[in-house]
Formats: sequence, structure tokens, C-alpha cells
Amino acid sequence: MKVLIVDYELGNLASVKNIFKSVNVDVIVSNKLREIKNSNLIVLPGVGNFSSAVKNLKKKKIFNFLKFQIKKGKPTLGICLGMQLLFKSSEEGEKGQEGFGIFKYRIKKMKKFNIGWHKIISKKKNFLFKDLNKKIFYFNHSYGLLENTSVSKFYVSNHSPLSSIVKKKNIIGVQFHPEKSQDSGEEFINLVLKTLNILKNE
Amino acid sequence: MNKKRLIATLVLLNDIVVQSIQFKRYLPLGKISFFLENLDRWGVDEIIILDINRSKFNIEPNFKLFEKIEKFKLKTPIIYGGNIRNKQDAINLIRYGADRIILGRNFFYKTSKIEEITQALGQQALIFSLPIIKKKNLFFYDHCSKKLICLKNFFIDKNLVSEIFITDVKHEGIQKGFDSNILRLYNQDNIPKIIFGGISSSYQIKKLLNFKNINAFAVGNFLSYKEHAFQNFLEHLPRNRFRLPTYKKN
Repeated sequence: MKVLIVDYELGNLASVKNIFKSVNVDVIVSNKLREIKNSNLIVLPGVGNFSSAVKNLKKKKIFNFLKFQIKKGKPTLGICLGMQLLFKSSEEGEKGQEGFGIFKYRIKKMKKFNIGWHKIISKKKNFLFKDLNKKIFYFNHSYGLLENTSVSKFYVSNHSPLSSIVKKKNIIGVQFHPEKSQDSGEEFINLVLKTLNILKNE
Repeated sequence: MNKKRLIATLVLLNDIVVQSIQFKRYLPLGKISFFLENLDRWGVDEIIILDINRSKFNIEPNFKLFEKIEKFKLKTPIIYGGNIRNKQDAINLIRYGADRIILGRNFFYKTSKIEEITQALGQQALIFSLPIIKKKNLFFYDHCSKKLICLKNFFIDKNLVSEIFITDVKHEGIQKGFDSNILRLYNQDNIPKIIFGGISSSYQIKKLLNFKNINAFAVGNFLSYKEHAFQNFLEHLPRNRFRLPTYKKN
């Protein structure tokens, strides 16, 4: 079982790597096509600007390959900016830079920064991450999914309809930073690995 | 309304955590690993590392520090300030383990230089540092040249950074509390603030809660001296304004 954190020169790679090490899975940081292909879970980390991230992915010639792999059904976790890259487009940065388009919505600028700790609230009672309902996570962003969509599974408490978790089949995006959310973050990563059957072959 | 954050601040001098008094006198406290592990376990909202002699001697940011602390697998957001000079320094710090960065005097004299970092990392990752000395007016304290520069006409573009880190230099390391007159005199209100310097009790924080646009309170050694100091602070702060402690006392 191998988790691959995509290196596109803008992520908080060490922090994301640490959270996976904490839950004892094999994790590498890479942007090599073969390693992306051979991984069991692609993680798109994120601290950065949307258009700069898209440009970097293209410069490294991995944008189209990642898009193909994700669309084909490769389990994927996008964190913060990494989640936003899974969307069609964003208001952040230069115009004309489109994301992977897995989620057909546009990321929009928020009126205020959202920096700090918030509860996340489940949209449906029986959603598979129901144990996370009302858990507190660390957020740090100024753009987000600001509309109620079919892929929105959790909202941010007191910030509805700002999405905190989006999901479609094997693709999960989170607006918060699980790698910096103390015990809740570790619990979330464990749930993701179980949900995506990543631990099945251990 | 977002909850206020209570941030632990570690002042680092030559890789040792020190008690700093007005950025003039320093008393060694110990290895940073000890403080980071404790603060992470206690569940503080964020940890700021102020690496203070980097800019004084024009040394690059402390990338090696992040290599050293990687093994502790910290799960608390880390904010680093220490002679960040350009976009590449900023990107590298985030890559090695900082979650946000504080830009200091290297950008005070030309804040437009921040733009290229904002374009790469986004505003949310960037904090601008203003060490302030209050006389009749407010002055920026340049700790390298020891010059005071009047802040009367100083503004930073609100599209460049997410928060301003205001330090009350005169009260830094002293238990008297942050001078609220700085907040009354400081004339830029469109960027949220983190305030630091002299905060030694929850009572002092309560007195500052109603000032406009304060997102966070940064506390120095008073949070890391004693076991449970963070919990003791939180216990006496309004529950609806701060995150509840995640670490239980035995």
C-alpha cells in the first residue's frame, strides 16, 4: 500500500507526509508518472494560489496525467488548495487556468478569511463519515465552495453553505487541514484510508 | 463569528528558546523540541516561532530547524518568522513544515515586494509583522538598525497578507499586559490582527476582546512555563469566544 503526495512545489509536503507516517502507512512525495500510476492513493496537498498550482502542475507535465488517473477512479484526497484543484475553476489568481474538473463547480472568493478551528456538520445523518460530525478541524483559506451542491457532504459550522468535505466515488476533498488538526485530523485520515479500502491489503 | 485563537509564541535565539525581555535581554529556557512537543500535546491553536537573530545577522531562514522537528510529527499549525527574504524562502519554509509565515523588516520598506509571494502561496499563508513602540505616536521598531519609523502614514495593501502581527515591544516579556493604546492609535483596520507582547493572563485578554478585528492573541513564555498553562488560560476565557481545550488535565 502506497500513498503518494504530489510534489508541485507549493504544498506543505512535510506536514502532510507526517500525518500519514503517524498512521503507519507507506508514504512518498513525488511527481514521477510511474509512481503516481503505482500508488494506491493520490494526495494533493495545498498551501498556495490556485492558478500558480495549475501552472506548476502543467510545467511539471503531470496535470493531464493526474487528471486522467483521477477520472479513471484512482482514490484521491485533495487538501485545502488540493481540494480546490479538483474543481472546474477558481476565482483565485490569473484567469483561464482550469482545475481538474472532477467537480463541476467554481471555487469563489469569500468575504473574509477563514483562519482557525471550526466544527464540521454533516449534511446527511447516515453519511459514511458520520463519526466526524461536530469534530473540530483547522482551516486556513480565503476561497471555497460557497454553494450547496450534490458533492458537499459536510459544511463548516456557522459558515453554511461553505463546504468542508466534498466526495464523489473515490475522490475526497477537504477544505480543512487534517495534517494540522491534532487528534481529529488523525481520525479523519484513518477514516479515509478505511473508506477508500486503502488498508484492505495490509 | 470565528473564534479567537490563542497562540503560543516561542522566541528562538541561536536555536535555543529564550525568554525575551523587550527584545533587549534574553534568558535561555531550553531546547525547542521540548516546548514544541508540550504545546502540540496541550492543543494550542497555533505555534509561532520567532527566530530573532536571523535578520540581525542576515542569515537565511532556519530550514534546518524544520528538518530537526520533522521527527516530532507535530499536528499543530506552525507559523515561522525569521529573515524571510523572498518568494523562494517562503515556498521552501512551507515545503519543509511551516504552515504560515511571518514577513518582517525585509518587506517593511517596500511592501509591494510581498506581492510575488502572495501570488505563489496565497494571502492566507502570509502574516506581516509590525513591532511597535508607542510614544505620542506609534513607531515601527527596526530591531536591526534600532531605528524608529513613524507609522502615521504606513498602510499595507489588504490584498497582500491575511493578518498583521503587532508586537508591543515595550511590554514584550513583561507581565504588564499589551498596551491597548496601541490598538486605539493604530489606524489600519481592514486587516485582522494578531497581538503579542506582555500578555500574561486571561484577564488581560478579556480586556482586549472588544477591540475591533483582533483574530488572535499570541502569548510567549507565560504559556509554556508551566504544565497546563494553556488550559488555565482557556478556563478563564469566555467559552463562546475560544476553542475548548482538547487536552484534559489528569
